Amino acid sequence: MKKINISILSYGIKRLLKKDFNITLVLIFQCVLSFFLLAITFNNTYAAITTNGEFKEFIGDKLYYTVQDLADEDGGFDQYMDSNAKFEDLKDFVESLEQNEQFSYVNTMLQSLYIIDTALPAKFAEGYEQGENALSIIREEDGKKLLSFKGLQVSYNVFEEFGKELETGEYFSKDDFIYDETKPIQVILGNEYKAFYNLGDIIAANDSRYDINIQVKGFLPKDSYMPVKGSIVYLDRYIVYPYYSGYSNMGDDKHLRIARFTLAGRANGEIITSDSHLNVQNLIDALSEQYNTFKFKVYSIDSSGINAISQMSEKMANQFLMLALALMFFTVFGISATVVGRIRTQSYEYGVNLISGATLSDIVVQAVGAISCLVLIALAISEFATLIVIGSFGVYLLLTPLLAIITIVISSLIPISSILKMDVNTLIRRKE
Amino acid sequence: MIQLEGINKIYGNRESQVQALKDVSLKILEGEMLSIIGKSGSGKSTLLNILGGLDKCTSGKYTFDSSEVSAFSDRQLADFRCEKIGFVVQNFALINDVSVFENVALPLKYAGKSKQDISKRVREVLSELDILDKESVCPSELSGGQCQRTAIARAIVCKPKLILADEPTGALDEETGTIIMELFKKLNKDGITIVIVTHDMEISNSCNKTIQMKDGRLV
Ligand SMILES: Nc1ncnc2c1ncn2[C@@H]1O[C@H](COP(=O)(O)OP(=O)(O)O)[C@@H](O)[C@H]1O
Ligand SMILES: [Mg+2]
Repeated sequence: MKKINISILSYGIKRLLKKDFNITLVLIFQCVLSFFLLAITFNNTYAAITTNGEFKEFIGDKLYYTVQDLADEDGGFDQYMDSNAKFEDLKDFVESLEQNEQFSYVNTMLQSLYIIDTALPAKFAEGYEQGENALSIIREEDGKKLLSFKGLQVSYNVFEEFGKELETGEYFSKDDFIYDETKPIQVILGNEYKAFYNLGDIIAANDSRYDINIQVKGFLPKDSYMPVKGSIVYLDRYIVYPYYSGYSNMGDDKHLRIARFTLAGRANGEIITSDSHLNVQNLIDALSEQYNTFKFKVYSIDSSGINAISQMSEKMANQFLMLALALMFFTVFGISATVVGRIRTQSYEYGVNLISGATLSDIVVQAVGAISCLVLIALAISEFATLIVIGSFGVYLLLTPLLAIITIVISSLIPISSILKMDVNTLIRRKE
Repeated sequence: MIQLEGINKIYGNRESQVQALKDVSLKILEGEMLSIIGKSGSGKSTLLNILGGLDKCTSGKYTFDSSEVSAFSDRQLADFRCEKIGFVVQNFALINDVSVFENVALPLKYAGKSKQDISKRVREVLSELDILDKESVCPSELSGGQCQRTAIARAIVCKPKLILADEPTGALDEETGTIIMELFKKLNKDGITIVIVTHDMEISNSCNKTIQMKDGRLV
């Protein structure tokens, strides 16, 4: 077996690509354009497709309910605030909700946080999207400037329930949900915060009652979102922090009161299930009876926004696929047609090559080489362009090489068969 | 040097078959200058293509210097063409938009020769054929005679043992044709075996042996 003859290969490739060089350039451009567009589209939908996968599986066609206590109706709340026993009862009730197998029970609450003396841009501030002059919401305390930033409190099981993952860092541990004055509060920041903080940074903040320190434990991927009481909140500009489930210093009266308040809040969470309203209400009634705590009313909430999001990711994925197929088709078609055309017009020349010692497989190698060259040049340009436009490394960089290989293989099929069909001995007899 | 035994060649598929060669047996000795004459369609080119390893016979045995060419693979045939055979055809078989130098260098490239060897050998052959001054000119700007010299240069550049010429003077005027024939005679004197297909009796008379073909058979 003769090894591939590089000089003849490069000669053959040049002969194929140099003829009508402008058309070759157009093909390269077309190829670059489809790779580039695909990489960009893919990059934009990839996050949604992957992170939505689990989310969608969980959400499915489920229904959303909120649970609200009726404690105020009979003065039950004041009794609760004064009684250790009732506190323990409610705690058991909440835990039974969280551990329930028949539905998912989560707490999510939009709750802004103050950051002290910060130069963060206004986009992170509370009310920014509503067009308020957000940075003007300032409290001055002891010469410190407090600015209010968008925050979301979540219970421990929320990320798991919604299939959310982090880009970097770690998710909250169970301990992070036990409030301890001596430690900074762990927070997970939205993706846009990456430009301003690093993992482990400690930031002086205020939870609207006390000065606290918050510490960056992780960053969310770009375009992360979370269902919050039946609608979708995009988290790129949010601080996500624990919805406390306990306090380390329960002997202290102040903390005890806060703990009781917080627990009452946690009892007013969200239920996600396929069960009917009536069934859920009956279930909650049974549980509140069992744990001897307040009565609760279950409200059904409109979750069409959430379902729309999960359908959207599917739609985007489909559109991506359609676009990919269409672009690939035109590129492959363009390359195939051009190369076949050139092989036809060059058939006499190939006859000359054959009498000079070429085999048909040499010519096949030259044609595939020419196609590979063209596609690989396009690949290099598009990878470079995508990297510049997107600005960070990502899975999309692996997609285009894959597409390039597929493009090479498919575009080579027809040219190869047209070469193998060439009638060797008639080629050189033909008049040019 | 060459022995053909019972060579048959059938073209086409089941519906339309043409038997271009019928039971052709032939010996060609080293150093011979053989001419093949016959009517158009009698199978001359087909025979030449089989001799040159461009085409395979349907049945029969072809031996060249004790190797059985009829059993060669495509790769072996290509190497055989490259090393042993020089082709010259009526319409020159030149690539019109690359230089004379590149045209003549092509077989050497397929033979895997180095750049220096190629350029040395091509110049040698071009000067032997008196067209060294045309090395960077494209064939489209050359006269017929110059084109055929270029084609012959390419045919001999790998020092073949056998030159197969299919009506080499068919596209040339008489005077130029004569000059080209003189060239073939000189190459033959230098030891290359030559087979020429021709219509021209004068050419066939100047060869030391002539065979005639009719309807795919030797007569
Ligand atoms: N590639 C081919 N396919 C089918 N028939 C062919 C092919 N080449 C030659 N023939 C037929 O074979 C016969 C011999 O052709 P050829 O060898 O070219 O004759 P000559 O060179 O003597 O004119 C003719 O009938 C021709 O039509
Ligand atoms: Mg002929």
